[in-house]
Amino acid sequence: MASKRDLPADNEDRPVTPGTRGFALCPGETAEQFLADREEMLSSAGIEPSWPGAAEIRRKIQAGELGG
Amino acid sequence: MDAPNTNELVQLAWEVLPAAHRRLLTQVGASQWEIVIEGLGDAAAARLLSASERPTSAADTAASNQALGMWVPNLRLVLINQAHPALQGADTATSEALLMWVAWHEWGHALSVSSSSPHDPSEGEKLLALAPEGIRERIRRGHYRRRQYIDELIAETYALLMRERIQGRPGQPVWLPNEIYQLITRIAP
Repeated sequence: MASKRDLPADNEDRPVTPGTRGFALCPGETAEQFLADREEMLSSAGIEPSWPGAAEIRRKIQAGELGG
Repeated sequence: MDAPNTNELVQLAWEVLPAAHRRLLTQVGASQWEIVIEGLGDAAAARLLSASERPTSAADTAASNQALGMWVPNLRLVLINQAHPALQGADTATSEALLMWVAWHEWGHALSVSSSSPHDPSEGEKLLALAPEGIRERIRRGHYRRRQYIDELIAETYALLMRERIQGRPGQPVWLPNEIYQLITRIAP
């Protein structure tokens, strides 16, 4: 299991349920912090990140702007 | 227009994927999802039991209850917890971005684990050292086992690539080392 909480620093011997994979925020991390970290990473690479919003994403899909 | 609900957002995340990736995910049993309002460990355990599959251990169930999303190959199902505390009180843009991210992350896992071009888990540490700092530090802080590094690296990178795709920046980004990009393209051509 790939959940990130409540695990000791060394997990090499920890039993795991085969196959499952999960996504969790790190302990104490908020959704806003998580997304801000991603945007900071892009910004540091010279990219201007911005979330276009679901309506704009839907428009792009319907307009065929995202390609195959 | 009302804000889209969780199911609509995951559907939107799905439609953003390249058609070839959707085909691969369908083949490996990761094209279906269920939105739940409970801990994902409990949700997965109950569904595995109903399907006469071996349930998760108590420790795994407890740990997975913290997750926002989870892919359960034996159920051919991606589970997403829309009642997760991280989503409560978040504004619309944050919820949209995070839920779509979670879906992309899970599909990244599914493509990685099911790839016909298997990758060597022992490469994980080396590739993680090459990864952009934001990805590298997050995975290190997550206390994963070393052999999980490569799967997490793939899932995080895949989600970021889909994030870039919706902003009209497909292909290899400037921030991603060639070794990692090549790994992703082998898994999801």
